[in-house]
Amino acid sequence: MSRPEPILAVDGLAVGYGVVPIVRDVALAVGRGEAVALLGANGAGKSTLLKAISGLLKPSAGRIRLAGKDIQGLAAETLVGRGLSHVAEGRRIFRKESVADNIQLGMYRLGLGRAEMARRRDEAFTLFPALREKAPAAAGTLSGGQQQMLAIAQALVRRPSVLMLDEPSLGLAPILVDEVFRVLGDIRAQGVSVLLVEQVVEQTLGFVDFAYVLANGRIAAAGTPAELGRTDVVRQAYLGRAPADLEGAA
Amino acid sequence: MSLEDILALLVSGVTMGAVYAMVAVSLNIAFKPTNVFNLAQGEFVMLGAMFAWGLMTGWSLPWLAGTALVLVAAGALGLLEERLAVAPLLANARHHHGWIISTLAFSIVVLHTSDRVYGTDPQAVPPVPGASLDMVQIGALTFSTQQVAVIVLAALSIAAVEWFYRSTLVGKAVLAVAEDRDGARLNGISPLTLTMGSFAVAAAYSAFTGVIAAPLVLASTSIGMMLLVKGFMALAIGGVGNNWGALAGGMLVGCVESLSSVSATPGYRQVLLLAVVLALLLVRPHGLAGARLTREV
Repeated sequence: MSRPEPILAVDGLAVGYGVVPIVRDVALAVGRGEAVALLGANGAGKSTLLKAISGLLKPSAGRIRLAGKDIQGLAAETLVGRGLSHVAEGRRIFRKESVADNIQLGMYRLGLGRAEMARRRDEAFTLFPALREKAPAAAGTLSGGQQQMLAIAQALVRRPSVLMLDEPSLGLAPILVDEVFRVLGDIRAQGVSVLLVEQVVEQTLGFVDFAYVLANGRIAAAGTPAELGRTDVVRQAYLGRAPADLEGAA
Repeated sequence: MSLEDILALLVSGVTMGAVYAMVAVSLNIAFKPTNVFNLAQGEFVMLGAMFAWGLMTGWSLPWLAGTALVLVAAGALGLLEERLAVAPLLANARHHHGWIISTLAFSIVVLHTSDRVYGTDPQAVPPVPGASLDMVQIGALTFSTQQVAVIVLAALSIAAVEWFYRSTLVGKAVLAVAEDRDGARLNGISPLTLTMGSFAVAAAYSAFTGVIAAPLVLASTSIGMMLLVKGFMALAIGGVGNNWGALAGGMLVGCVESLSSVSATPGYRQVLLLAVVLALLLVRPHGLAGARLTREV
């Protein structure tokens, strides 16, 4: 199966905390309009990889290209203006600020006028009706599911070309996980490229076009959900098998 | 002691309390996006007073023009301090608390340089336009219009600072940085820019405090440390980060200090003041209006 032209491409990436590399020699791509999953056990390096792509961590080696331009080493706040949005793990909203202010802060970098900001906020409220009712409330008073929706809304109002989400279903009840995937489907339908880190493997593979399996900081396997489904590679990755074994399995 | 005397002491206390509150607010402004208490903040008040004396008395500049130049100069020095004494340390997690020494060192450099440039003698600075140091009596109340100007300007400036944080996108971005620095970056907010801006604004605000307080306390290179300590007291009583709390805290410090002059010698006045502050903090450790500090687990 041929994949669309990549809008986000990572090659030979190494990144870690201090001198210890967590992720080594990683290559992956997200095509235009494509939904791609990054799977792997806890501690495999998925969140670290996303932080390196979004500019929160500085890679020690490798290349990251967004829409054909090198972006490695650029600051996170700069990349937001270039169309890359990262919804980080743990619903990193501003809990003391109101829901409406959180959404407004999502557009900080764009330099929009009041009318355009209000229009985009209304669009977000249309996608997440529960947030409209809670607009004046402090974001910290929202339920877990609503906080996750707010974090996604904050990113969506920027109209990103690539949206990276780190475990958006973490800690949510099954019915809310379904809701998250419904929203992700809507986002995809708008042509946004999605890179999704998730632990809900079955639902994720049912949603994406392509998936990478990360184990011990390296890409252990890659393929379409159907290709990965024909092997035991994903299950083995979550059981903590070594990358070399997994490569053989894939 | 007559009612007139007590009221005069209260007016004096409230006026100095307003000054202490402004120092506390300037500490809050620099603290919000950085979690750094700028220990040079008192010296910026001193610089404001000395610059005002130099520009308005030495160069005979009108008050408004002189004040504008003071704010620009102090803002530039605040920015310089952030670049030299704060940013390099915040960029390195291993030196996260190095700002305690580096901002103190900056304040010492500012103090000694000012001593060399201006000398140590106290100097008179013109009052705010339209105000005067002459005393006015209304019933039992005696005050100068400069005292009224300081109180009004303190309240108005604190209201303006609060409006900035609550009603402007940049102000909300500062609060967002204070809450979650990396979360703010992922929303396109640059903590670096806001930190530089906050240090510059805090320094300019402190200098403005010096300009309006100097006609009452006289401009002298020795006033910075005393005002920093009183500003910290106001901050502790009002609750860190709470600007209206700082105003209440400043008023309390000013009034206790002023009223204690009735019976205590200058040395014991400070002891009495510290005892009151300590007693208050024992009862309310987070200050009068401070939020309880919590940690999510």
